[in-house]
Order: sequence, then structure tokens, then C-alpha cells
Amino acid sequence: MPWGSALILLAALAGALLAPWLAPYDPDQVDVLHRFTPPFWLDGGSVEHLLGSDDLGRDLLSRLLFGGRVSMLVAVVCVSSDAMLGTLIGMLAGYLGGWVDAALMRVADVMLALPYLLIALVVVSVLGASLVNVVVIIVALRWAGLARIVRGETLGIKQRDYVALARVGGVGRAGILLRHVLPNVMNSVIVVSTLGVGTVILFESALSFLGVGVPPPTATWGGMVADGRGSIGSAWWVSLFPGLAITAVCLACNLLGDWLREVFDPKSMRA
Amino acid sequence: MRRILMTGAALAALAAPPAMAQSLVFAINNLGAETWWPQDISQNKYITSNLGDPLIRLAAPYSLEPALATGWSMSEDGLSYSFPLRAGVVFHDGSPLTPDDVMFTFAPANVEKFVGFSAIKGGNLVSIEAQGSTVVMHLKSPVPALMDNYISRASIWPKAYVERFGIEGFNKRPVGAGPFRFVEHVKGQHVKLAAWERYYGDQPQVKEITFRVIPEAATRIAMLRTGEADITYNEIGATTGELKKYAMRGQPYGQPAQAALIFNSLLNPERSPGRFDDIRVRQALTLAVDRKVIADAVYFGAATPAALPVVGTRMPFYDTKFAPLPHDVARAKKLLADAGYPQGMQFDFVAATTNKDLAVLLVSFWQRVGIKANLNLLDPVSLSRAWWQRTLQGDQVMLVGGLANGMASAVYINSKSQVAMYASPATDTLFAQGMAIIDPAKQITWLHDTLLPAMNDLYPIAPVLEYQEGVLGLGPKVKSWDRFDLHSFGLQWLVPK
Amino acid sequence: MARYLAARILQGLVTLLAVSVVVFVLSRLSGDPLTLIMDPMSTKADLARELARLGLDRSYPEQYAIFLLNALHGDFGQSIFFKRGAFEVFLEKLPATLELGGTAMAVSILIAIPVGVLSAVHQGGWFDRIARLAALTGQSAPVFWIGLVLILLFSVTLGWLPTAGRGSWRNLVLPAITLGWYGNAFLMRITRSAMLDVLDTDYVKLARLEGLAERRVIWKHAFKNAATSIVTTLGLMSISLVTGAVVTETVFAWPGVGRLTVDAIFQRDFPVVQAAVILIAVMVVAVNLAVDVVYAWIDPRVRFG
Repeated sequence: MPWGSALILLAALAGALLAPWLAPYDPDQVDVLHRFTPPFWLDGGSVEHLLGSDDLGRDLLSRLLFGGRVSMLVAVVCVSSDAMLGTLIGMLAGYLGGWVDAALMRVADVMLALPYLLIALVVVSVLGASLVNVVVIIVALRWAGLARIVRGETLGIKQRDYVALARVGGVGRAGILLRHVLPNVMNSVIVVSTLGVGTVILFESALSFLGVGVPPPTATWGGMVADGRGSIGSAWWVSLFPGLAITAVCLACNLLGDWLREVFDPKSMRA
Repeated sequence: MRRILMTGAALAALAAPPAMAQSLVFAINNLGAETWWPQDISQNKYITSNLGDPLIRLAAPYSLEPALATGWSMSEDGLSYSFPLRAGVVFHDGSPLTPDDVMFTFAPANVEKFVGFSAIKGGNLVSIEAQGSTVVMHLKSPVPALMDNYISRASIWPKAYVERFGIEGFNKRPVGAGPFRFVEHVKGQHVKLAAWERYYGDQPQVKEITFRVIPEAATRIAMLRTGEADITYNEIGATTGELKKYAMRGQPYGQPAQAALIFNSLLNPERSPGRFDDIRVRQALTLAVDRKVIADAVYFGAATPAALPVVGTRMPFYDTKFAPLPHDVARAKKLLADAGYPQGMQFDFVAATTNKDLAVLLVSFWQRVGIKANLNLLDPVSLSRAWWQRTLQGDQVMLVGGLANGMASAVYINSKSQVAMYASPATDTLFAQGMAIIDPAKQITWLHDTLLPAMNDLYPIAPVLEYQEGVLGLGPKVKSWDRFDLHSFGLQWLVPK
Repeated sequence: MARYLAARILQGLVTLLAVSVVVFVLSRLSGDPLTLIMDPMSTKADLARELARLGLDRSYPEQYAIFLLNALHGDFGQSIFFKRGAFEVFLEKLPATLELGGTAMAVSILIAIPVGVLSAVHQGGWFDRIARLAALTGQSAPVFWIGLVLILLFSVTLGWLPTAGRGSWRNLVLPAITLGWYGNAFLMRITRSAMLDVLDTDYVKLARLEGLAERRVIWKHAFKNAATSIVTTLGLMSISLVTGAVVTETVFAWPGVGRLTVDAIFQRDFPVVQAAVILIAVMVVAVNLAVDVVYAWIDPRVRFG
């Protein structure tokens, strides 16, 4: 168990959940007269803004806490929706086979063939940028990868004796999928989802960089780094702290996912 | 030994001709369509216009200067314009400028192909003819601001050269009569121009200018710091402050522009009464915002509070009695209460992603007077579409950008134009009245005596800030640059160290 | 094999057809380019005329049919913005993207594969831990932020490398590192686990028992066997380097297809958006097909599975 990763994730989670009590300021409160206040340990910094303030004079610590909330919420919602969607579609395709399989996998092929960042841009220009739209786009573009993996595993599980036995024993399709297939594909789903958390956070930050991420005033880590890049040379703290937060959380998730992968050792996921 | 060397160097310096900076690099956000076809000027006017000069130059708002023509005159009815051509002008291929070239550029069939230029398209430019070395243009109906909006935007190009090489050939090796000639163009990367030794006007002081396309603003600033770029072009915004931090000069450049609030429910002349019909509500939205603080802190003085639409406060004929509304929270609250919203109000607020900072600041100032604005950011094209094509339903407030250069901007109050910011019989009458005045001097009187007071009484839209379209970042190799052509950069006035 | 191949190619074509419908409909829904190509003074009649000129006034099915017929002949229409063929515009920018992607991949191969192999050999040791941490860091930070930090460090502060643009090899270093670092973790992980699998086999154990030098066992015997999955991974990675270059190209002003498409999307230059998305999809389908065929060739069960 990588304890370091677990600790980082716990700390980030606690910060996000307790943000309203921990944050010294309203994260959206602008103060144009105190823009780019440096962190307290630098010249010109003060304990009023422990980590300094951003280009509109908002308290960076408060935004970091609240931004983590949104970033991690987006990540968790996207990843769990993808997990459900991908598992369901993958199991159905793998187990039912035939035209259901063919149809579902062709849809998955299309999703995988689309250059996801570019398509996300087009979709945002249709729907407009909003928290919900960003989540919907990410989910829509990401389920297919997992569905492929789950389908592959389901195909293997289907051949096993205990599944055949259950079928002979009169267990219905739903029963077999729930009792026999699902527990066996869960390992892969958990590993893929853990690794997915980081990907989603980074994806949201790339959207913010291109100007179509979760819109203000809602703070997200990705959006904060993107906003701070204009002043990255002079007021480096504006983009550094959210950047470090992203790196820490993504790294923790990736290490955790790697560890889980080795623990579960689902061979199908290696390639 | 050292002494001798130094003397040698000093001697060499004495003997050298007045130094001309070899080469400067200009980092810009995009190169546009990367075609050199002058008809496409609405897209990459900054690059093409440096190669080719117009007949008359727009040096500043309401400040026209002779360029390829030594002047111009207009007939009484405003339908004929004469341009006596300058003698001795040579295109970059060595051929002299003749009336044929001007007649070719403005041949009615060619004008139809211009991007934009709607006022002289569709048969309004009837014919163009030469009378000796003077070119005469005939219109069907008069076009106010013809010089500012059209003539000064169109570079003259050489008929013989174009006919010989075709559009393809011209695009590969464009030729004009401007201060710089074409050297090299690597698509998506850079364009190299060199000073034209036989330029008729002020001689360029830089030997070579390389435009490099750098889409990301933070990268452009980094290049200015490393010396890889000597000049950057930035749209007005946060990077203005960044320039100051590195002791780089920020030189405002471009047409006078405004950020303004427009109201979706007021864009159609046939409208049902709504909340924003009340001038007090519109004024309250302005009074609630400390625009001075925003202008100073966020734009570092490159912007100032705006007073009235259409006519910017820096116009030569502006009347200072129409000062920008102050920051007055109490008055804003009172106006809202008087208008029937003592508890404040709530509305959807639509802005472009590129104007994010300003939008967020406005929302936060409004919050303090009890206004809750739900911010909805659109990409710039979606926003223009919502505004120009009226695709929104409801009484949203939009934050948009527009020019504020007098008669040429009057189109914003004409309900028939797609960029109408406010549609009402009153403003339509004003617009028609103004357009009927052909004589430029009388136009100015009308703007001053009639339009300004009318705008003040109607307060049809709520202008927020005014500024010039962009800011040039000047690096250490640039001594000064303070004279421009509003439709090209005016590179001949760029003074290197 | 021929039948399997035919079936896979047919599937690929169906996928591409579906991709073309998706991108066509989405781009049409995103509005039109008129606000960018018309001047503000123009009237409604001017707008209608311009729409008709661009063929955007026809019904969607009609527009799609025209588009598809032309696309089958390699004609993706005229770029509204560049006023040249959209396919031509795309092809013009492709070499830059391939150059950057290829270099990034070379960086990955040179770093990730040896490190992956050594990590597997020293599984759980300090080298393994540090190498994995370093590789994963590249996959854990926003690409644009890494890019800007590299610019600040190596261009602004140290002055070693140029900031942006395409030109000499020195221009290539920072963007290639930025882009390549992201793929490092992926490739390293695959290499490592493939090696672990092979190192565990009797074949390698036998080689060791025979007393061959450890170095020879690892590189000659084990690595050779792990190479198949590494090569297929490289195939998949090549795609993500093309599609993933959007952000890197923007930060470093690299004139490639990613930046071209982003601009085209913001300008509603439909022909370029369609050409770019469909041609990228063609590459994805082709690489996947190649990977599948290689698999089927190695492992006959796949063909009948």
C-alpha cells in the first residue's frame, strides 16, 4: 500500500470537504487593489493571504480549497459515471455478443477514433461552457476505453465452467452478469478508474487552457493554472500552487492505480 | 594593445554611416488567413497593409493624411470623389504607380470581391475613371466616413503585376507600394519584410522586420524577455500589467474601442416592454462599478472609464461635460429602487471567454448593490453570433466590444444593421439624420451638437471601459514608436535604438 | 486471414463514416463563420448571400451528401478562412506535427524503454521507485504548465534554448520534452510489466541457468520477447502524440495540425474541422488495424475469437 499517496488523497479530500470552514475568504471575492499579493514568506506578502492572491485579488488559499472541491468532484463524477457506463456496455457487449456486441463496439470505435480534445472544443462551442457540460463531454468521450477492456474480460469469463453451470442451473442473464461477471471485472474497473482520476483533472485543465473549461467564477485547479499562466513569470505563485495540487493528486492516483494493478494483476490490462 | 583596439573600434564607429538596426522581430498572435490577396484585408490587415499603401491614410481617428493620393475632394452631392495621385511612387517590382492601378483596385467587379466593404459593394460604386493623373470615383448613394472606413483600408495593388502573375503568383510574391517589401513567408511560422528603399514617404528606420506567429500570450511575453522578440502585439487585457513588471513599455495601439453592456431585449425594434427599457436600470449597472479602479489596477491605465457609446471621450470634438458616470453605490441602489427593484435584480450575463476577467469583476461589483448576474461565457464567435444574429431569447445582458470612433461607429445605433447595440425609433432617426450629412465638417458639428446630448439623454447602452484595440510591447531594441496607421502598423515610424 | 482482414477493414470504414457524420453535425450546430468574414455594416441580405455562396443555406442532409461525395474524391472543400483546399491546408501542417510527434516518441523510446527494463530487473528497488515517480510526474501535471515552466527555466532564465517556433533542432527540444514526458509513464509501465512477465518465464530462467551473462539474458532473451507488446504500444502512442499535441503546439507556437484545428473550430471553418478530424480518425483506424493484424498474425486465436 503506497501510504504516501493515500495520505495525499486524504488530505486533498479533507481540504475539499472542509473548504467552507477552512477557507479564510470567499473564494470569488475580488479585491482589485490587492492583486498579486505574494505568499506570506516573501517580501510584500502578509498573513492575510497565506498563499498570496491572484490577478483579481482573490485569496489563493481559499480558491485552492474550493477549487479542489470542484476539480475532484468533476473527477469523481466523471470517473464513476464512466465506470458504470463502461462496465455496463462492456458486459452487455461481451456477454450478449451478436449484433448487440457489434453495434456497441462500433459506437465505441467511433468514440475512440475521435480526437477527444478537439471534439470537446466543438461540443463546448455548441453547448457553451458550464460545469455540467464539461462533465457530460468528458463522460461521453471516455467510457469507450473501459467498455473495450470489460468486454474482453467478459468474453473470457463467459467461457468459464461456473458460468456455464449457472446458466444450466437456470440463472437468468441479469443474474449471471451481476453475480458472476461483475465481481470478476471489478478489479480492472477499479484500476482504470483510479488512473482515470488524474486524466480527468488534467483534461479539465487542458480545456481551461483553451478557454472552454469550467467557467468562472467557479474555481477549479485547472482553471487556476490556466488563468495564472499570464503572470507565470512575475507572480508565479498564482499558477504554482494549483499546479502542485494537481500534480500531487494525479501522482497519488497514478501510484495508487499502479499499486492496485499489481495487486489485482489483471493481465488483460497490460497492453 | 587594448588601447589600440579601442581606438580602432572608435574609428570604425565614426566611419560607419548612421546605424540602421539590422533586423527586429515582431511577435503577433496570428497571421490571419496567410493570403496576401488585398481583398482579404479584413482578416490580416496588419500584415498586408504594411506592403501596400492606401490612397489616404487614417493616422488617428478623424485624422486623415495623404498617402498615395496627395489629397482628395468631394462633389457637393457627395457622389464623386477625386484623388490626385502622387508622382514618382514606385511599386516594389520597380513599376510606377499609375491611375490604371487605382482603377484596377477599385474596379466595381473587384470591389465586389472585397471581404466586408458592404457600403460600396452591390453596385454602389458605379464607376471609376482617370482624368490625367487624377482618379475620380462615382457612387450611387453617398457613404459617410468613406475615407475612414473604406478608402484608408484598401491598399492599391499593381495591375500589370497582378495580371501577369495571377492571384496565385501574387500570393507567392506580393508587391505593393508600401514602406516594406516582401522577402519571405513560411506559412504558420513567420513573414519577413524588408525596408523599401524607394518608398515615397518617411523612410523606414529598420532594415528588416520578421513577424512571428505566437498564439500564446505568455509565450510572447517570454520572448520579449529573452530578446527573441523586440515587439509584441497583445490584445488589451492582463498582459498589459505583465509588460510593466518587466519594465517593458506598453504602447496602446489601434482604433478607439469600448467594452459595453448591451441588452438582448433592446436589440429588436419590435419589442415588448422589459426591465432594461428603464434608463435608470442601465445607469445603475454603470454606477455600481468602480471602473477607475478596474482600469488602473487591471489594465494599468491602458483603459479608462467610458462615457457614451459611438463617440469615445478622446475624439477631438468630444464635449467634456459628458463625463463618465462615477462610482456611486448609493445612487445605483436608489435608481434601482426608483425603477422598482429595491431588492436588487437577477439576470443572465453573457460574455466572451476572452473578456473573462472584466466580466468577473463586473459581477462582483454588481453583487454589492444587490444585483445577481449569472455569468455565462461563450467563445467569441458564439457571442458575436448571439448578438449579430439575435439567437438568444430573453433579457440577457451581454458584454461586447465595439469601436467608438464617431461617424464610422454610428452603425451601432441603426436597428437595421446586424451590429445594432440598441434599436429604437429615436436612434434610427438619429442615424438617418447623421448619414444624410455628407460634408465632414458638418458631420462633426452634428456629432457634437446633436448626437452627444442624445446619447447622454438616452444612455441606450452602458459603456464600461474605453481603450485602444491592443497594446504593443516594446523591447529594449526599440527606441520609440508612437505614430501609426490605424489600418496597418505604420512600421516606417518604428524607431530602433 | 484474408476474411478477418476484410471484416476489420469494413469495420474501419463504418467507423470513419460515423465519425464523418458526428463531426459534420457537431460543426454545423456550432453556428456559422459569418461573423468573422462579414463586416459589421453588412445587412441581413448580405448575410443570406454569403451563406448561399458557401453552400450553407442548403439542408443538412443535402450538405452532408455533397460533402461526402467530394470527400471520397479527396476533396474536403475550400477552407472558408484560408480560401484554399482544406485537405491541402491540413497536409501543409502535418509535417510539423509529425516532426514534433516523432521526436517526442524518440525521446520516450530512449528514456522510457531502458528505464522500464531496468525497473523490471530491479523490481521494487530504489531505481524502480524513483524512475516510476519521475515518469509518472510527467503524466500528472498540466502539459501547458510544464511547457511554460520549461520556457521560464531554459529560455528565460538560463537562455539555453529558444522559446518558441519551428526551425533548428534547438527549437524542437522543449516541445518534444513537454510532449514526450507525458507518454513516458505509459511506455515505461508497459515495458516494465512486459519485462516482468518475460523474466518470470522458464525460457529466461533456463537462460540464466545456462550461465549466460545477466546483461545478455536481459537484453538478448527477455527484451526480445517483450518487444511485441512494446511495439504495439508504440503504435497506439503515435496516435496520442498527434491528437495530444494541441496544447503543446499552442504553447510553443508550433505550426502543426492541432493548433490549426483549434483555430478552425473557433473560426467555424467547417471544411478544415471536418478534414482534420476525419483524417486524424483515418490515422487512428489505420494504426488500430495494423496493431490488430499484427496480433492476429502472431496469435491465430484472435482471428476466430
